[in-house]
Amino acid sequence: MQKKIFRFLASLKLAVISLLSLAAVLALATITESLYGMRAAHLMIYGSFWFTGLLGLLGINVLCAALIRYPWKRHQTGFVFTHLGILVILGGAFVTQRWGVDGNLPVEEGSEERQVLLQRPLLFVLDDQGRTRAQIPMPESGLKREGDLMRVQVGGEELAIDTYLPRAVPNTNYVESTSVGFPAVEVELLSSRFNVKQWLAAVDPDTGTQLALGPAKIAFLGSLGSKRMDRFLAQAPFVEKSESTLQIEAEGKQFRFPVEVGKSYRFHQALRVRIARFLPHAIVQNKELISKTPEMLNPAVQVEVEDDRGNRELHTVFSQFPEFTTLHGARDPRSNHFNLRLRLYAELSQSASGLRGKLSFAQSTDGKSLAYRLERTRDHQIRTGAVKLGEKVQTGWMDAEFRVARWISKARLDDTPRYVEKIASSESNFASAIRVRRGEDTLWLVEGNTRSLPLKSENLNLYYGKERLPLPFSLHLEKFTVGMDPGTTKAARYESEVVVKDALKGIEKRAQISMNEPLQYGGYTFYQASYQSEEGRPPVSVFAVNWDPGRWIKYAGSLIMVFGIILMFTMNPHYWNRIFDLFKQGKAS
Amino acid sequence: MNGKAHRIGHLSKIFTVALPLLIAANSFAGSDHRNFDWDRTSRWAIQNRGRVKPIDTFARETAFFVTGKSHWDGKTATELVFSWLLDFPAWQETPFIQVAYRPLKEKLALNLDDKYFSPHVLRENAALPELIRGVSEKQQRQERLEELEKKVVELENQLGLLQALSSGEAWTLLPNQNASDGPWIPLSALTHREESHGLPYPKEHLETLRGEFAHLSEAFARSSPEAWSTATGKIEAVLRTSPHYPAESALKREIHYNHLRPFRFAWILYLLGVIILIVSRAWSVAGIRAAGLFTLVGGFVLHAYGFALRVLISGRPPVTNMYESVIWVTWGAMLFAFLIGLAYRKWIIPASAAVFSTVGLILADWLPNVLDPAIHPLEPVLRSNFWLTIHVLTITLSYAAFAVSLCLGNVILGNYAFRKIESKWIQQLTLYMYRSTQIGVVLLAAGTILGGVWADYSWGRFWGWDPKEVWALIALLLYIAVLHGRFAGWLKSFGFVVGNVLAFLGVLMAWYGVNFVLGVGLHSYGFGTGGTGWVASFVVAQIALIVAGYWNYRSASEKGTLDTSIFPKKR
Repeated sequence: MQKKIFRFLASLKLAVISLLSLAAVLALATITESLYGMRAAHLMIYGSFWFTGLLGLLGINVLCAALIRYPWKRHQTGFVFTHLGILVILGGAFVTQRWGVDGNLPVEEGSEERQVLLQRPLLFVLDDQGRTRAQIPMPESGLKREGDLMRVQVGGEELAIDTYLPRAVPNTNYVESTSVGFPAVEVELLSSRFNVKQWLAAVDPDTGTQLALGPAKIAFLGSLGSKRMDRFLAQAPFVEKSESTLQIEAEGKQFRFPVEVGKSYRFHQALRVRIARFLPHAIVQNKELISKTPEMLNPAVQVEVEDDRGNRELHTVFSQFPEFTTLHGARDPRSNHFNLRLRLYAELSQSASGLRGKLSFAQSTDGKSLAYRLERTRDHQIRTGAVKLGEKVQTGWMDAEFRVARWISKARLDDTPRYVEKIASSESNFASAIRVRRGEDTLWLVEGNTRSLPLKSENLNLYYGKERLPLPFSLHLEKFTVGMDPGTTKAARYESEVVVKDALKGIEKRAQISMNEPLQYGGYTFYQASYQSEEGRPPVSVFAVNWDPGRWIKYAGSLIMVFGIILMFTMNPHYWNRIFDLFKQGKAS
Repeated sequence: MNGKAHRIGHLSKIFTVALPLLIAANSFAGSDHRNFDWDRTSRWAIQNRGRVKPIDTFARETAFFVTGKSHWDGKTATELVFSWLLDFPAWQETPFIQVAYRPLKEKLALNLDDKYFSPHVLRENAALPELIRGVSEKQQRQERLEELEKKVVELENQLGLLQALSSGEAWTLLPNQNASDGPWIPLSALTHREESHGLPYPKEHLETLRGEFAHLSEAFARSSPEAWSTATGKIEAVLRTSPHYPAESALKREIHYNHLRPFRFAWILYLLGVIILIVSRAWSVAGIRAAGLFTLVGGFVLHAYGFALRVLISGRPPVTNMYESVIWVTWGAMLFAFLIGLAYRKWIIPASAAVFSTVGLILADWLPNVLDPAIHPLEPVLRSNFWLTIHVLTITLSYAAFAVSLCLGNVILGNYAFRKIESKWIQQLTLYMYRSTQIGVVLLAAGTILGGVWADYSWGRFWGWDPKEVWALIALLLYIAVLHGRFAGWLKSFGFVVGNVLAFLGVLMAWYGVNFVLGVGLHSYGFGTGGTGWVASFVVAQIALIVAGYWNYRSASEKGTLDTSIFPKKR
């Protein structure tokens, strides 16, 4: 019986069957990857235990096939080498999978990082000091999972994970609220050149919300009482209040004051600031600072700051030039008493900021009607009216039209992420997400999110993110550059200037990492994998971090295998035996 | 009109206002520029799409992109692009912009029978802006585009390119003075006073360029070859003062490559050789056979020469897109076929491989939309890497060996299907087929592992289950399964051939399918679309041939007259 099993395990028939089934499974895996992405293919196939089993079966087959032919004849040298090579490669692959490290290290330009992000996502429970209380592996899969996936104990209460999305895109949506809520509109701007859609939510009823959208500024003022609504609908300038703010920073604390000329404010206990002059369009004429026009083109404010002991500072602050020194006579150190940093926030006139116009919305206090107000920069033309949902209205700037797609007078935020079932787009910036349930409440966590979790006993935070591996040293990114192809904007090179900082060994080592030119340090290899850039932020260079103890085993196996195949195909048994015979004869004589 | 005043009027707005007026007066006289010295202007260097190339190449690529042809109405590509620069108003009503995709024409309510449309018609089209907007939104959201939407982008790019050509923006003719890979300056910068202020050229050079380009447009408008030659000569003299203007020999070499069309003549010679050899088999005349083989060798030499030229022009290993890999693999197939053919002294081996090479080169020649023949700069991940070159060349050479195996397999299948089964002859051919499969297996195993070495070196993982490497492995597994199936006794004479031929479908998937069908993975630099129909019909035809062969094989083996051993008996 044992002999029979051995013979079967060593048989050519098993070899053909396992080779073909491996080929079929691999073909299926590549299709899975094209539909669901790399991670899903890995979870569903490459990383599954049955796939390892299939490779194991092939390995056993190769091993038995070699053993059953023992003692080997000379002409089988190639055969033995080939099969030995395959076994060594499979062994090396196992070592890599079991003990290797394969992760990512994103480093922002100018900062230092030592936490390698691994593949597996974890739920971190953090206390209000930011300390990690627990790290819980989450149920991963290639497809969406729902139901009672797992339960965890946090701070004496039970949380349940009831949904897992392998590919989710964070989504901001507003839905009707049954309890408290705030007004929200979804506005669409359409023209031949662009088409944008945006939610505006007046979460803070006092300030409303506004943002730049396409060529215009769009604002939602929230609910307006009848008096304010009348002014909103009137064809006359509608300025609720001064929109300029002065910010003073003293000993790390920030204070903000509305800019109203002549007013004085106390701050930071003993200090007093007086707004002396406000210049909406500041220019220097005859060595004197004056305002050329009342338009908000280059706003500046002059203020006096004094304390009770009679120390006094005079500052001029420009909103457009925050880098200027604001203190008068700053070169004389004696004139600097308070060590303040001042900043002026002022809304520029629309013509200065290049905007074509402004579109505002406001709803009545009873939430029954929604009104719009269109202001055109060019000629200050104003049009107002009642909004009809879904109806297009000409804005008067370029050929743009607007449309209110949805309006919820009492809304709440719905953060359910969008599930990307199949990869129908080239976008790859999705991440996995989980839904945590505690009693009746649920909250969504997309990878990289932190959410607070107020419990009875204490306040905890939940962070859902990749498992981290701290390196024994850190990587400081000095500079990241993208080189272009000559005369194009097509990226040709990615280069990161880094400094390895190893405090334990007292080493600081400079290096450059670029595509195909990795850095090796402390057994780890760092590759330039990708980069992220966001407007107004320093670029983030992403390194692939790798530690592979099976590398040399695989290389050795590969060499043995290729050598074996060449021997097998080139060495005709006849020649082979003859060479051996000649060798023997030589020895004998 | 006073000549001097006229010229001053030109200086500021050479290409915008003054020219159309001029043309209006001379439009009849202006139509003939055949006796201009276009050869000279086609040798000017231009920086375009990430590379410095002669105008000749730029013009061919541009003309092809806009019109789908490399020449138009008797005009060479160079003449054509210059007339778009200098005389665009005359083209407004001429239908020359190719819109071939029928659903797009339907969407745009264009005449479905027409292939070309005028700038005027397309500009006035009511539906186009809406389509373009929809597509650009989709692009912003990074979604995958439908076929129609890709064609919309293409049309938008055609119109954009024409705009850039007529305004001078696309004519990046002025070399960068500081760095060999720095951006060159477009012609349009000359016409804008403010912009030209900071140009890194001596003032007198700028004046010359401005003046001579004005002369150039005058010469074009007046159809004066002499004035044209004078102006081009002066412009060229200024351009050549730049330290980073390419060497004349390099420009000439590329033009030589453009004109020679080595791969077209290679397939013509291959095809001719195959026909002569088939004829020689019918009449079995030794002289004809030698002539046929000689023709094949001629095609092979030309093929190699074209390849060498391309390597010299691009200055890099030549297997980075589908077009180049087709050229390389067809060449490799001929190489292996000649080697095996030489070893066994059988002309049928190179002849059958030549069929594959002919088909491959014809596809490369006739389907420029699928197999882009233009020379592009490399993707970042492919740059300056020894292992990449080795790995790709080895893997693609294994495809070449498998292609020879496929061709011989099909010759055998043809015998099974259409003729009386000649077991001895089949066994001989099966041996040759086996030899090329062996070469392929060694190269593919080595190449896949070298790919691992490269991946380890560049990406930090020896094996990352990337679809391209997985499919190379699948192809290898299929061939190995066939080899083991023979030892297991499962595959006899017919089955072994069929197994070899079917395993090639794995190669096809690794070579073409991963990039064009699956469209995912790290090897994304080679991606493209199209050609699926061709490949699918090949697969269908292949399976049909196998079925037809099986039919005859079964009826013969039922009679028991067949020798089912795979290889010829040892002597």
